[in-house]
Amino acid sequence: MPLKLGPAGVPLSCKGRTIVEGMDDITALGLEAMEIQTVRPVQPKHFDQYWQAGILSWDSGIEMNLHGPYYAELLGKRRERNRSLAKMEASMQAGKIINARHLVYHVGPYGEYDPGTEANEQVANIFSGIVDRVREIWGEQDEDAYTAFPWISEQEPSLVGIETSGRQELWGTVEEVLEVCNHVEGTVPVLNIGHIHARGHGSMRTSEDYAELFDMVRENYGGSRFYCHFAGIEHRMGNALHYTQIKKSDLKFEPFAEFLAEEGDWMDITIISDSPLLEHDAMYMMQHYDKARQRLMEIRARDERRIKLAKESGLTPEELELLEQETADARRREDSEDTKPAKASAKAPSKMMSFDAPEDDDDLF
Amino acid sequence: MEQGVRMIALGDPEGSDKASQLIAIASSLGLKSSIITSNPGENFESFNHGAIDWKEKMAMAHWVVNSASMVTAGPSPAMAWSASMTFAELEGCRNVMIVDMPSDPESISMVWGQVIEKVRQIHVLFFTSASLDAISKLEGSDGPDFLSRVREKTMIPLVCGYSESDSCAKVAHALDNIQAQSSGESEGLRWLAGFLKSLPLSGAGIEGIRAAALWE
Repeated sequence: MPLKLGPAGVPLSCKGRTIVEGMDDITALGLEAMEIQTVRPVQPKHFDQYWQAGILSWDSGIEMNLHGPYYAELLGKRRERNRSLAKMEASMQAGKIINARHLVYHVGPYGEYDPGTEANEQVANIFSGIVDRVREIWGEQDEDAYTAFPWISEQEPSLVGIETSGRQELWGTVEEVLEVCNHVEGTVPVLNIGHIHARGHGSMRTSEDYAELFDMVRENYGGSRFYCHFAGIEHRMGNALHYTQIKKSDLKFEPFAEFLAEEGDWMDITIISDSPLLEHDAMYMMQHYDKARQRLMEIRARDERRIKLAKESGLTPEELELLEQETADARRREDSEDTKPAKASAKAPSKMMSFDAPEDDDDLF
Repeated sequence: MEQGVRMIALGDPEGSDKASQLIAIASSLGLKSSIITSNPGENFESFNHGAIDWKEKMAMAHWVVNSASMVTAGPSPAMAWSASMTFAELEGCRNVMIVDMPSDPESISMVWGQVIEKVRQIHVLFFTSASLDAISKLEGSDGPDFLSRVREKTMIPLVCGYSESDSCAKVAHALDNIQAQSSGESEGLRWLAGFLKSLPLSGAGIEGIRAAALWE
């Protein structure tokens, strides 16, 4: 299964602070993706840095992604919406230069809309315009641009990611995001697991919860490409309060790793760590994924061995498993019997009255 | 074990930045506090920030204070600024960010952009009066609920600011917004020092935050 992990920003441990230096660190850490935040205002020096990063990503295969403004009000009044769109424009321009595979955006508060079809239609209209604008930007180039940006001719334009929100008053439940993505070609759902967990009052606890989530996405949206954010999160009353390290949160990565290892073969997934410990937690996730895969391989190897042995001894694997179970039980019984006489002999010499009550199966207490 | 709230800050050797000023005030209020800066004779702009033993400096510290304008002080302070927040996160200290005006007001947009990149690591964000005006204009949101909006946008647990016009410190938290009349000494830094001193001891929940905010 293709799984790419990376931090949301230049790694904290990076000596330099440029994107290219950050990408070098990411490669050294064995990570394969990066999401960068658009700085504002975008100045020519930033474009130069973005272009260098784009070239490096083209050569090295690191997946670059871009996060739009950290907050938007796309469902606000015209003035607020236009202000948000103006901020987004810079990230769309930068997305082409950096060869971003995803441009990630928030929608913001419901504003004057109630959750439902009307709000979703409005979001779909806005994102339809955003997708058109991204394609327009990718289409705007002269002959020289093909040399400078080889990905323009050989790659598809950036996909527009719509991120799930972590608060009740913000547009962006999983269902809402999926509905809009279904209606607007060129958009993809960005599953912020921390947000989904917070909004669902701590819903992402077991690997089954992840199976349910990704099944829902597969059924409603289709496709096998996924883009996720993962970080520890503090939440209350269905609202995200604060990002934390994964270790300090009730949102654990182990169940997600278990799900990916066991059932994620069909998925092509990028997971971005937006925890306060960016790359540290990305590495932590990678380790847990490797562990889960290792565990799964061990289980599979044991099962294969059992099948092979069963064939050799003329039993079915189930019969052999039962036999193994019985043998193990018998061995356990033998072991416990070996220890019993030792205990008995320790007690035997004493002729004093014992206050130890004899075992009474009827006495529930 | 040594008792009491402890605070450290990254500051310039002259002590002219807001984090150093906060430390000076905090010391006068009885907080155990210290400043991390370049060695004597070293150029602050290019001091050897790799030599700082953050783990040792942060031992037993509750708060690690930084001022936003430190990112404009040169490459070394900017890197130390970033590293301090990561180490604070790793060592279990809380990051406090004072958003102040840089010496070149034109660079406020860049400075604010750098703070935004770090929002996940910040626990207390404090705007001085001047920066409150500048950032609210920059964000196009200059209403009375600006602090709450920043908190909602960034998910920083405590967003505070001092307003000179009404001599009032404000705290935006997920559970409530609190206002506290303040003497306004040192652009609200005295209030902030007292708030940080009281907060770890004032109890849990919004009542604890309220009690700490009203310390004056």
